[in-house]
Amino acid sequence: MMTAGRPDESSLPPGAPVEQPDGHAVELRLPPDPEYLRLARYAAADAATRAGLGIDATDDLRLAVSESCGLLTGSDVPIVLRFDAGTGQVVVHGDGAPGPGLEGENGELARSLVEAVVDELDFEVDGDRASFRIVKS
Amino acid sequence: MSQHEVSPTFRCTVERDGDVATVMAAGEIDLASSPDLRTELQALLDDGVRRLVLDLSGVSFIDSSGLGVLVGVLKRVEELGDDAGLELRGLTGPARKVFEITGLHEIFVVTD
Repeated sequence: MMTAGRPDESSLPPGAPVEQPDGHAVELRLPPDPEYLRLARYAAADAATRAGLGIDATDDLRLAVSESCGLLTGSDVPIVLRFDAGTGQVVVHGDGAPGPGLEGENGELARSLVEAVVDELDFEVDGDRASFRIVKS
Repeated sequence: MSQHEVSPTFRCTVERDGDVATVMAAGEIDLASSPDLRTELQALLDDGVRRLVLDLSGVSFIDSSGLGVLVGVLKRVEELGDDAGLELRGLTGPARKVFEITGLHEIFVVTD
């Protein structure tokens, strides 16, 4: 679901993050196939735009979401993404199953790239489930 | 000149002059399209190309899988000898940033 609009920000100090009400979060369910990473990037760019992030930060979030989702491709479990766009900040939750790319040099490179471009990254693997949380401002 | 639309969001145009090939890539290089880029570049090396120029000025996005392909091609080119080479041209915007974050811009020959 794509929605527009922002919560009332008038009472907040400048730069303070605003959590979108639940109805304004965007959730996306993707097949765990690399062909759908482009769609994840589109959604990331949309969330960044709604949060008012600049061009560089938007590019960073696109990269971070694409790389993180890429680590969950190749499994049999759909990737579920949730984008919460506040003022000047986007929080992305991802959930799926570990893909074959998670291990090895490319997996390490992907994670190090994400860590370099976001404010926070939590990436967890628990058995046959994998999830991540990204914060970008 | 040959043009290959290797995926819906990525294409390569190749100009060949003897053992020199200039590959103009355009679009997004990600986990979906990077295998096609690998195939394209390796086919040129298999066909006798010794100097590869990869023009990335039309590339708006590259991820770790794309970097992995380029590192693999660089290793193979280096094995061909001192007269062989891989040059990256037109690296700008988000693609350049990815190279700088990883330090790979110092390993490749990068020109404007």
